[in-house]
Amino acid sequence: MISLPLPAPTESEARAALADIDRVVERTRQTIAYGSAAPLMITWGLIWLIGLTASQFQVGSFHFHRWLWAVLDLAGVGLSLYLGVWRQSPVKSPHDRRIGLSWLLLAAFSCVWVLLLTDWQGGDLTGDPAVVRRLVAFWSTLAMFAYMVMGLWLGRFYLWLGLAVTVFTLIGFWYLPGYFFLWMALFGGGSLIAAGCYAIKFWR
Amino acid sequence: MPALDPVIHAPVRLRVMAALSALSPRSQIDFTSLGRSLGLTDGNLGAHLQTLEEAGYIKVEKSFVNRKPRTHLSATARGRERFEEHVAALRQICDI
Repeated sequence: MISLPLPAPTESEARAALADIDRVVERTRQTIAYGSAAPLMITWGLIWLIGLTASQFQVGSFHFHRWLWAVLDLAGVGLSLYLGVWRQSPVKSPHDRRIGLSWLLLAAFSCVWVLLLTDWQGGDLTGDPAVVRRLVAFWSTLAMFAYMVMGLWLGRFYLWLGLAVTVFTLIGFWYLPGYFFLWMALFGGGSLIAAGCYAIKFWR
Repeated sequence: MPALDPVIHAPVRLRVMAALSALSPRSQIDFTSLGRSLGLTDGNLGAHLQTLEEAGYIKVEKSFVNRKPRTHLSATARGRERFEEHVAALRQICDI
C-alpha cells in the first residue's frame, strides 16, 4: 500500500485531472454503447446488402429468394448469437441478455404482424413485387425504430442511424420503386456496415 | 470533507478508476479493451491493476473463452466510493 504523504495538486492540475476523467468516462460509455454492437451491425448490414441486391436483380426464381432469405436470416441469427454469447463483447453487462431478448421478441412480433397485416395465403404473398417492397420497408423501418429507441437509452449515434435509414427507406419507397431493393441494399445495408466499421475504429 | 486518495492519485490509476466507475455496477470490461481504450500497454496496465486490486478497489476475474484466457475487470463498491471521494476532492480544489 502506498503510504507517502500526498502533495496537493494545484488548481490547474486538478482541472486537468477532472478533464481527463471526463474524457475517459465518455470514451468508456461509447465502448459500452457501440463497441459491443459494431460486429452485429456489420453482420446485418452484409445480410441486407447481399439479400436486397439479389432481390433487385431477380437472381433465380421466387423459391430461390425464399430460400436465400431463410438462409441469410438464419445465418444472421447464428452469427449474432456467436458474436454476442460465445465470442463475448468487450463489456459484459447484466443488461446484455435483456437487450438480446428484446430483439428476439421484436422479431417474433413483427412476424406475427406481417401475417396479420398481409392476410398471408401460403406462398403467393411474396410473388407480388409491390407487396415485397412494402414488406422490405416494414422490416427496415421496424428495425430502425428499435435502433432509435435504443438510442434514447444508450447513445445518440443509434438515434441518428435509425433516423437516417428510415428517411432513406421512405425516399426509396416513394420515389424509386423500380430500384428500391438496390437502394435499400446500398443505403440500408451500407449504412449499417459503415456505422459498424466506424464504431470498431473509434469506440471498440 | 473529501480527501484525495493516494492509490487513485497516480494519473494512470485515476484513468483506470474513471473507466471502471463509468460501467454500471456488476458490469465488467475486458483487459485488452481497457488497455486499448486508455492507450496503455499490457505491462503498464497490469502493474497499475495489481496496485488497485491489492487496495481492494477493483475485482479481477480470469476465465477462458474459446480456450483463450480472458481477464475481466470491474470496480468494487469500495473502489467506486473512494473514486467519487477523490473526484469530490479535486472539485473542491477547483471550487466547482
